[in-house]
Amino acid sequence: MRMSAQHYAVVHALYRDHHGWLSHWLRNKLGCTQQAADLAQNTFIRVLQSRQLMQLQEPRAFLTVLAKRELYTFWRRRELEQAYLEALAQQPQANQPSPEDMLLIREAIAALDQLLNGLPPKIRQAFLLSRLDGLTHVQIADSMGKSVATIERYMKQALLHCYLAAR
Amino acid sequence: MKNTNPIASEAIDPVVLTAIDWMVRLDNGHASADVKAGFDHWIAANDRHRQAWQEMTRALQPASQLQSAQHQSPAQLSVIREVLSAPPSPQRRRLLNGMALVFVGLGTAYLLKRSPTGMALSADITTSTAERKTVILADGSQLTLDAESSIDLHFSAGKRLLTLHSGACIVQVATDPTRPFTVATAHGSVTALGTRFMVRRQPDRSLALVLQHSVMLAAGEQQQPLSENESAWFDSKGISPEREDMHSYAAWEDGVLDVRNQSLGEVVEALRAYRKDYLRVSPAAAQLRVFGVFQLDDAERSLRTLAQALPIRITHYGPWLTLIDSR
Repeated sequence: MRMSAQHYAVVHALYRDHHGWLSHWLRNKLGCTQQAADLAQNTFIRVLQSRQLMQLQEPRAFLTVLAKRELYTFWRRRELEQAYLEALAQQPQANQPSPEDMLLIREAIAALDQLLNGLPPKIRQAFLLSRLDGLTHVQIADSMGKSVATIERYMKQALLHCYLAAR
Repeated sequence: MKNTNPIASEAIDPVVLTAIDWMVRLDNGHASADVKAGFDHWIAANDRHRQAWQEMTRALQPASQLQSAQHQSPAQLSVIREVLSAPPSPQRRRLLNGMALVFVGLGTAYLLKRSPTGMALSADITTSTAERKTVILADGSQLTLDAESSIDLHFSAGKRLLTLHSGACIVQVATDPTRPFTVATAHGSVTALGTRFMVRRQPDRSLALVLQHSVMLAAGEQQQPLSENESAWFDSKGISPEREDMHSYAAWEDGVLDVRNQSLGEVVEALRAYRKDYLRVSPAAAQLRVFGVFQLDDAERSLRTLAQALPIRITHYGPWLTLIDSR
């Protein structure tokens, strides 16, 4: 990441003037000082990466929006972890992955979920059937009661969505 | 970067679109040797082609990781699918409602429109994009479905139950005192008391609108009669009566989208069921207020009409993507 001295000065001023306020705001949402501190830190990492700081007029509104995104990611991740552990608990002992695999899988689930965030459910389903289950487009079309042309359109939309989300 | 038009930075590289085309062609399960040779030729032709392909592959890395994890322990697949198929809970999603600012602030300009519809997997009667359908049911009742709707029918000696999974329906109920007629969604149920009414299922709540006579609405712990011209939203927590005249919500039956001071975001949401492509609307444009009557069956013309009335620009990317942003 390229960062000019001016950009750095703006971030520094933001941090100095609003970090305490933001941590407090997050603590009210989370009820936990430690997590609030982590998310405040993540929020400022986002601030560093943002490219339009020079025009900033409402710093706290800007910070709140970035922090909400962090909060969403945090809660969604916890929701996914819980769902994963519950689903795993339904499986027999023989099917449990090793702790290393489990960690990788949890990370990848969170990453893929974030990538697919906002995709319409049908398109999400078609994408998962193709990329996870490895079904052919004809098989997906059959299982979803759609034409192959529709599935291919879904796939293109999903791929573009992932491309834009990953940038 | 200038703040005047953050959307301009969002223009999608046509090479990426071509890379996506190739990916889908190669992926379909039985790509011919010709297709593979064509792809090899394309990717070797230009460094930018190879680069776009790598960008796509990198974007999809989490999916590849999960697929290889599943090779090591096959039973993981069902677990992973189950977890990823569940959408985020509504209160989490609501947190993102004010997110437009982030995207504009960061120069990434488009919010993705989510489809209002659920899955149409096992439904008895479904309609596809841009299709409306009217059927006469076994008891003589008449059922009209909006585009992208799906409904299950369960008729038995004691009841007539329709389960609406997605979209909207209008029913004209044939009288049968021994068998109540109910339309249910995940959010509650609407039981006819000799009548004509509409139910629309949205992701987070449903709408009941009584067109004739009355219905009994039940949701959560609550139960409430609705009379002619009355309407109410309902979800698993209960019922909230709507004071506005909601007849415009049933105008789809006549192939019309009747808009009275709604946001462009909502209008685009309604048009999606009538378009095969993916409509993306920029956050700034989504907030514009819209008045007017639009033809659903000519959604392309409706878009053009919108572009004439509002300060927006519409860009088509092939037959599967349309972007709407503010001028």
